[in-house]
Amino acid sequence: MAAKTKSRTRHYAMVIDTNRCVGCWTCAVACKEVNNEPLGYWWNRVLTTAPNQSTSAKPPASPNIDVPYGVYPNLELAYLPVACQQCNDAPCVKVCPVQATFRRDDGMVLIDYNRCIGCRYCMAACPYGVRVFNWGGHEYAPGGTVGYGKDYYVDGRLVFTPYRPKGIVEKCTFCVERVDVGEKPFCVESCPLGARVFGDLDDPDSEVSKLVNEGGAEQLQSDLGTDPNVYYLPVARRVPGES
Amino acid sequence: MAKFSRRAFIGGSTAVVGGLVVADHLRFFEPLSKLAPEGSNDLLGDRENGLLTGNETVYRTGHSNNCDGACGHLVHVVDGRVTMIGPAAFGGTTISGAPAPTFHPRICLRGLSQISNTYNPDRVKYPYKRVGPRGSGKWQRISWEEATSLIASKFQEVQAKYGKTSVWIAPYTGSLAFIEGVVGAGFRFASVIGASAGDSEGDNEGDSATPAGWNYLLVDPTLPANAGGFFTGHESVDFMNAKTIVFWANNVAETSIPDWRIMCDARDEKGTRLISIDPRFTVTSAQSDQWLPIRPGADAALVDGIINYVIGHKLYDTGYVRKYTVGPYLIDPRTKRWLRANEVIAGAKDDYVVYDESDGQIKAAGDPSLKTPAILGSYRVAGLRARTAFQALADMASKYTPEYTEKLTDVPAAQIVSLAKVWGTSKPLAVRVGFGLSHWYRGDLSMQALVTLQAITGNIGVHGGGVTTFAGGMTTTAFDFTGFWSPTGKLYTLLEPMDFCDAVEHDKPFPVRAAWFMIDNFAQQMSDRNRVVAAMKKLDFIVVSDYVLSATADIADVVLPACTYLEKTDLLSSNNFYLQYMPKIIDPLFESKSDLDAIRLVAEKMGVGKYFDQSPDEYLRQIMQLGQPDESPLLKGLTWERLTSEAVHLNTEPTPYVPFFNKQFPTRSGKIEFYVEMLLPYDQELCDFKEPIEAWPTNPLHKKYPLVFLSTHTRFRTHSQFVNLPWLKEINYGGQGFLEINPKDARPRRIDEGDVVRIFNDRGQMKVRARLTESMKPGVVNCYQGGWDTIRVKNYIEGHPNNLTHQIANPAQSVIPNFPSNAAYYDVLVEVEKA
Amino acid sequence: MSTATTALRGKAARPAGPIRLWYTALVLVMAWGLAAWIYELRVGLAATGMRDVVSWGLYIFTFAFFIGLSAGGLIMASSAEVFGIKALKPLSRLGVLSAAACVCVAALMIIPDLGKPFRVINIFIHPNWSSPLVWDILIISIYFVFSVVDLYVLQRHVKEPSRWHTTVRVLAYIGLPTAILLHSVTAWIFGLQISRPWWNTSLMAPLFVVSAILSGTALVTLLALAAERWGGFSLPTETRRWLRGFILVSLLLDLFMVGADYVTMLWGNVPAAKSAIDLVLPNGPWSWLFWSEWVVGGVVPLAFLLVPALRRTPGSLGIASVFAILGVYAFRAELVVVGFVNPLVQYPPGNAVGTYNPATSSFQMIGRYHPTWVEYGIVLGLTALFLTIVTLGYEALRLRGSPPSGPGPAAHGDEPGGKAMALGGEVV
Repeated sequence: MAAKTKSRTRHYAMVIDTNRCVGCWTCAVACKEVNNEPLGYWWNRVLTTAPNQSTSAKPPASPNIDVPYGVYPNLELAYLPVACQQCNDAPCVKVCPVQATFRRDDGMVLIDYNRCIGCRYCMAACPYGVRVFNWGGHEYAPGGTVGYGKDYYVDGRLVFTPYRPKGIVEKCTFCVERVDVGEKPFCVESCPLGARVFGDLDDPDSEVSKLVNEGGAEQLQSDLGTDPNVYYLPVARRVPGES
Repeated sequence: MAKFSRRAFIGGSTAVVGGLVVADHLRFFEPLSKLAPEGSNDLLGDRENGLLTGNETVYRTGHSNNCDGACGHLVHVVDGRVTMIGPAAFGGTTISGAPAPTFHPRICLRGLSQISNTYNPDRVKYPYKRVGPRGSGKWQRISWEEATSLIASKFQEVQAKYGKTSVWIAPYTGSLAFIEGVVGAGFRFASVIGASAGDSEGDNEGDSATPAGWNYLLVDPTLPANAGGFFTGHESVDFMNAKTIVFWANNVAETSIPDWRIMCDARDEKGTRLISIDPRFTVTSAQSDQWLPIRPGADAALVDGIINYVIGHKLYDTGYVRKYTVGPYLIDPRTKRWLRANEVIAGAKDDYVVYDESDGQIKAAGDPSLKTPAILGSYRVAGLRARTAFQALADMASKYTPEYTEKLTDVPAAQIVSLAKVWGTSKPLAVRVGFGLSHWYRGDLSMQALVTLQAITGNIGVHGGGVTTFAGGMTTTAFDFTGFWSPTGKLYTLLEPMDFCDAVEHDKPFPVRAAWFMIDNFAQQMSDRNRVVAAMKKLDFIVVSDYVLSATADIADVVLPACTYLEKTDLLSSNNFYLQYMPKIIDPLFESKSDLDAIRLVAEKMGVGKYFDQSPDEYLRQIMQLGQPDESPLLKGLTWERLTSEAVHLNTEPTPYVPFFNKQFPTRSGKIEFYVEMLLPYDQELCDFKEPIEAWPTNPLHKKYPLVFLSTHTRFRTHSQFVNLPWLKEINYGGQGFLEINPKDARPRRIDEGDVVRIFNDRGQMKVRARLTESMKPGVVNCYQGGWDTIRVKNYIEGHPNNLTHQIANPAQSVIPNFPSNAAYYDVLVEVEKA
Repeated sequence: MSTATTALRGKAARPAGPIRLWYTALVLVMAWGLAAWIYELRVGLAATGMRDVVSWGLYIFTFAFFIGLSAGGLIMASSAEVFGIKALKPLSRLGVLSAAACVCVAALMIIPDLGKPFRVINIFIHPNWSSPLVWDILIISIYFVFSVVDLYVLQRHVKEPSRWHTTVRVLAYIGLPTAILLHSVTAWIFGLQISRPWWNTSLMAPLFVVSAILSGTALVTLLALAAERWGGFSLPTETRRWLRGFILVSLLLDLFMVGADYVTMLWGNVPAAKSAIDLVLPNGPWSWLFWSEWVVGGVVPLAFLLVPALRRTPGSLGIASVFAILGVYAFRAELVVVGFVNPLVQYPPGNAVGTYNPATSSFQMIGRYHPTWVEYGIVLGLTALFLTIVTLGYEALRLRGSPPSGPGPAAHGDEPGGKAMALGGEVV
């Protein structure tokens, strides 16, 4: 399998269809499970794309998810699941002082757990706020270590470990340990809406290729030039009366 | 106690010295312990080892926790501990080996969180006996031996004093599995000891109005084959065949998330139009092509408006009405009953009477010379002027002009017309009805109206049509539950949950003095909770078996630790037509036991242990009768090995299951009876809109309590399950309840975001914080139900939505014995003020 | 520490009471800082008020602040040579001493901010040359070494002016660009980040240089005033005038640049920039930093520098310096904190913070930040270390009573500033 992987180029990408996203957070919980994320830590999360948020530093007095915009009955509601965008020109890779964060040839941005010094410069540099630091004092949901449960190395570098080492910055790995053995990232596998598509951009017949090249998939904050490998199909609601 | 290792946790860390009463110190709720190894404290940055090194085994099971999704779970177990749950594939073939319709693996955030549910410190770990006053939360740990002896002796004592049926067994909706669930072993126990038991259909607490309405037209409950009425629907993949899908009071995208994928597939692959009808702007509404914001409770009026338009503009399916409905049959204008051929036509047999357009003759419906029975018009018969049933429907609906309908429903007339056009032209059209429609006093009427509309537009019994809420009806036809429930040949006595209070307080229809609730949070989830709790407190003895200390367990005398779906063997066949074997994946945690084992221990002490001495597998074989002469034809060819190794599609057809696909309706006439003779005493023979019992502007009570109070479901729980799971709490604001209110209603009441508000009516009150949102229709407020109001956990500041609901049931439903009474959770008026 | 104290006690012919008290206080504060750091090592950075939305806090903006403070001394010492400002020469050694101490403390300030402090060596083993942080650490190291060398040379220069004269001049010519580079690279840690519009301005480097000159000069002024008050140091009037001028000009430039940046952001209506502005103006949750910067750090020192009545009050220069330093500190805090508080992807519920709060949500859209006692402890401890280094250095370099940069060790005792000036002039 490993030999096969090396024999041809791959460029992994994910397309998320926001038309299908119902904001159920299953992907986020799935991520939490497979990666054994402690309470308070979410490598993946689902944003409600409502504008006009207050700048009050006070915490919101009620859940600020699922808030539609508009005035009854002229309303809209949409969601945006956000995890690491796996940028081709990743600001985090650029700023990491010790080359702990690196981009694999197939597009995956990974972190060397054994090298990270925990300076969190990558968190300052990431425009998507998807990086997570292990502050320590973790609390876990009941049940002990869950998920993949094993160390995973890429070229001798530790890029996943089942427990969350204190003082290290982490993020979505595109489930490198699953993808390398031919499985899909767990959020893709778990999404109950089939809203997530994962595949190889170098394969012109792959679904992601088609969606990226012809399907109108967009990148988040594309104006920043980070060239993410996570794409979004924009919300396109049909107008009533049209067929 | 200070430091937990995982072993210590699993072994149970509650320090109880045998028999010692440490009631005040007993803790069901351990602090959220740090079960996983903590990140390294090593200054040099070396890692501690938190790896899963043991052997991994993967099991396939079904998720039975009552959300009808019936997801398949792939459960990873390392060293006897569940470490991961993921979606499992469904076997791609039917029992006969034919390819089954594409059915994607499915899971949602609740299923994924089952690990923390199973290993939750909140679990009831041991049997407990109440030591303080009832509801004081003071417990003493006892042995299973002591607990079951106590239960047996108390049950026997109560039965001797008040009659056999004075013990009520309530094995309800916490689980949809076979042996332990709404159709499970509790009923067998009740039958064996001669006790009474709750409804087996699982539609006990607000889910029986729409099934009743469905039965009115499609099923005659008095026919023996129908056994008092049943309920089923289109297999969920059949929605792929629809051209239009209408979600009526149904928030699929939030409550049955995996089913929404099928709707998305239909929308994106086939261009299916999605329409949502809901007073709230839900996720489903947001993703639908069209949303009609309707006044709560006005559903039947909107349907009548559409019926009027469809008939007026000849958009109905003439051939279908003529052939498959009672449309052409003439009605006796004097009695409003069907004209009988033997009474009006000389020499004819007992039959319906029709007017043949081809020769202008009045004929019996079965007359071989009948060519074209008229569906509209009134005709002279034996000196009477008799209308056809379809004409009666047209006449009834004629007052529901778009303008009048707008007045009733608050939906703009133009939108009503546009919806009616869609209904008449875009076929097949499927309706998915949520139980939200059922939570009304007249939920049956709304369903009756929808089935009527679907019938006249030719959408019943066709692929991509129908009116569907739940699609597990084949389960009851394929399996022999009655045999399982009554091994002695004598069945339990039915006592509906809605009759519970009367039985306790007034001995009607018989006294109830003891009860056993199995995974049933009756004291919180039943409507008119104040009354329910007061009645429960009058009982001599209450047993609750549950895996969490629910509000019901709070007032129990004995609490038994129950298993989760991972700790016992069972079978799941719910909404999606797949038979999913649920193996026992891990040993029961702590001292928990499956209900079957708990029942066995009690039964042994009551002298009827022999009825419970077999294994779950053996009972499953009995229920399924695999390979036996009595085996259902639906199961022919299914082997035990195949059943336990993959998820098998129950349908023998390669196409998705559609009820009445052969257009043979199990009614008296064999046709769709949209003119329901048996409802004449209730003046409901046609689906003429009637106002809700409480939540309607013309109700004088509306002046005092001007807001309609809904208590809907959220994706973060299934009724009151999953409330306490940290992963979900993190997203869901700690599981706190909020009152959703439109700013237009909040402003005059000086209510601001986050203010504590008191919601009240004559039946009770509750307090929560306000959440101002435009998703609520002005005049309607909502508070998600199911949060806990227990001694230890309060998801609402005070009370629960069910402190405000009532138990007034529509007597019309009693014509369907299996769905006789319904709790109208949403038919409720309240006022809200700043607390 | 105690040996040093003993050594000092031996050398300094001063009443032991106040200095002992001073050192005891410094040691106590440093011990507190050390304890806080040990606690932080045990608990992890969970001991701080930083979390995933505001992931840099007090340490980083204090680091940037100390980097800025280090500027004054070196720029002053170098300017004295490069631009021939003789009046500044008395401050050369004190300035470079403070520069070395500041940059040392700044570098140490990063250590408690690291999640894995013992892996800091990785920066030298696996440097990533595209990271401004690597360049910053490089320049900090160079700057520190340079300061120590410069200090050594200046000290030797005092004894043997003619022999070390050329070296002093050469070092001055190197020192000025090095200092400017240090502040620019530090500015680019923030200014190059496209992720945060609050930072992403090309003005960042000049702004850092100017604010560094401002705060650095103010610091040297304060140290000199303190040395004059308690350490027998003499501060000539002409030097005061120059200091006043430096502070005034750099303060005006600083305010101009900050203001220009505000105007640029206010003029546009770019959502991400606007939401950041909303946090500070007019009464956003962080507006107190804005007002600290403009009123405490702007209007007040300007008043003490310009308004004749205030200017004439004794200590006006010192007061202006204190307020200017506070203003620069507020600017640094505002830069870092508001940059983080302002949400990146402006949709609710925002980012998970890394702390479980069972009562509400784990997410934050607008960040919140309150430093903990651990952070205050470590920062105060390191500030005490700075003061210790300066005090010890002051004694060790025998700046006491010396005509700064003046002749040899023989020149003990208070000499009038004019004379020192003249002496300095003679040297040149």
